[in-house]
Amino acid sequence: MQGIINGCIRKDRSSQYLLYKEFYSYGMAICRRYALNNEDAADILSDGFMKVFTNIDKFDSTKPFKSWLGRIITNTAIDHYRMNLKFSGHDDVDTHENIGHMAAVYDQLAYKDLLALVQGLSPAYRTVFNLYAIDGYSHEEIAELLNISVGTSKSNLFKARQKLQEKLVPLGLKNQADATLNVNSAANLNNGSRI
Amino acid sequence: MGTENDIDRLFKSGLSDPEIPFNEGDWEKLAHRLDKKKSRIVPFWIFTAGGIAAALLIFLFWFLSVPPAIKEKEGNPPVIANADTINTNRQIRSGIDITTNANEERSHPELNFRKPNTEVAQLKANNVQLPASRLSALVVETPTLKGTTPVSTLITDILDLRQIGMPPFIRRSATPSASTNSALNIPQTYESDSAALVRKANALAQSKDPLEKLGRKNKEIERSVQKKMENAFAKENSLILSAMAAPDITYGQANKDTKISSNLGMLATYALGSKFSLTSGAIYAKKLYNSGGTISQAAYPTGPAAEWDVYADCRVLDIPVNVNYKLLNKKNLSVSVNTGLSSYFMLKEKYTYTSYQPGQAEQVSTQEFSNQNKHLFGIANVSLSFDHKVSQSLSIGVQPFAKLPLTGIGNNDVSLKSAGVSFSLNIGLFPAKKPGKYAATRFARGW
Repeated sequence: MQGIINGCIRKDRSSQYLLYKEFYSYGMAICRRYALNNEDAADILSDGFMKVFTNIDKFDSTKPFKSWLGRIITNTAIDHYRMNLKFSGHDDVDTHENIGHMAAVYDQLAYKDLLALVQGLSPAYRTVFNLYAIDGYSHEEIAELLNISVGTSKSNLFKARQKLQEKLVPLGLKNQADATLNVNSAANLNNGSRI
Repeated sequence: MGTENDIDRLFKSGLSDPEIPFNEGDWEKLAHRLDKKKSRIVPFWIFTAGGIAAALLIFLFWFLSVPPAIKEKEGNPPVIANADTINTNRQIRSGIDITTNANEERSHPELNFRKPNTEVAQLKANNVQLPASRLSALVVETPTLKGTTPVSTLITDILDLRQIGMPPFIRRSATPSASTNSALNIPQTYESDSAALVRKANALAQSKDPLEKLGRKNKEIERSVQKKMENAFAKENSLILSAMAAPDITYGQANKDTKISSNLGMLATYALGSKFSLTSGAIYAKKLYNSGGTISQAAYPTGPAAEWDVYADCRVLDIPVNVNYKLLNKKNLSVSVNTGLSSYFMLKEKYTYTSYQPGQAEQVSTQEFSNQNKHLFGIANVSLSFDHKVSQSLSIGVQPFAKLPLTGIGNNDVSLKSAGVSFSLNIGLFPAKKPGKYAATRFARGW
């Protein structure tokens, strides 16, 4: 890996290609979570790698490259929607901390379903939810990064969860119905009947 | 780290590490962007050197394309004979007696005198008093070279123009020579200012039959000629309006990336004399620059040294006040050096700061200001301008320039320098009366 990074520092195109290919999936996954759609995600990834290649000489080789790249791409994604980040006001979120107890049926949801749910959130909710729930930022870090208060961060996280839960219900019911249907089908097959 | 709850856990596990197939098309787009970026970054010195080279080339082209006043004929040094070498010993005054040396033709066999052989000789014989205008009309047509056209410029040597009010500096238009056998060789197409002036005076004098004016209208003609000449040499209060556009490179103390800024403006130039002029106006500038550096450990002792950069996009109203000094003034070309001060009115400033700490995400913040900063006479202007006359009242100009800060510029007091090349179209609102080189190219503008 260090050889590839050194090649990128020398602006060697084949090294850049190898680095891009190596981290394409990782970077695109981040971008898709923060983006409105997959087309935007591709643009963000391109912007992010441009920054990576431009600033790769500043990378501290004693640190993991993947996290450095991930942070650059995350920041690029946030910048992409920064103008659209309209955060809701500060609510008293402490009383709503119990939200988010989900049934096991939701564990079966596919990647694309979950991604569609996240992409359906508003940019502000999506950003805070991604940063907190998936990327592991604290509310203090989010507040500093997005130039908002800690309370606003918590409030937006709560509302994001609320929105996701609302959307998960029909998916969960459908999943449950599908599961039931599958069980019935299997039983019918076992009984020799045809559907 | 956030507190785990079911929704967070569900999405984290479901979205964290998907396998997304590699898309070569995405790489092609990125590679194309990398290629464009590589070709777009032009080192500052290349841009500056290119501008200077272009300006020098244009200057040389114009300079060499201007025909010389007198071409030297091989083997015959250029001579325009004056009164002494012709030895005519003519004394011309307003009112005027003429004595013609009888040895004139003998001492200058290469000169054919057409009219003097007859008319002037008669005048001499009759001791006729001629007005200056009449005399000039005679003499202009008088000396000719074998096989060449009449040498109108001789009039300036033969006539004692001070007698009729002309400034003494036009008295001789060419270098006198000791050689009496030299041939005159003056391109027919060339007409010096003094020659043009005399031609103008002659045309005026000849507009009516000058013979009718002999005697009783003598004074009237003389006054008319004098007035025309004074007008021709009168101080020109011409005002030149210029529309200009200029790309430039603007950079702060630690230039990181080279970006091309743009300037558009209108300027007015007013003559303070034959050499000096004053220029002012308004220029709208879009100044882009990208500076960067390292935040020292001393400044942030608790953390590691961090890289930073700022991308600035500023809209500036530039009000220059410059003095221009003309170094060269050819027929179609003038070259001036210009210096002065500019005031910057910062209409809009937008700064995007990015900091990078090793192993951490870059931090981005943006600041915007409107009409918050102004710098009165805070920038020094230096430029060299080359103006090429297109017509009597129209010229085009090229001007390499530099703008150097005398104070900190913008919200962060950046030492903001600019260098570029300005292109201008100049229109004389009150065209100069004098023919020749004192036309629209008389003034060069500096900003």
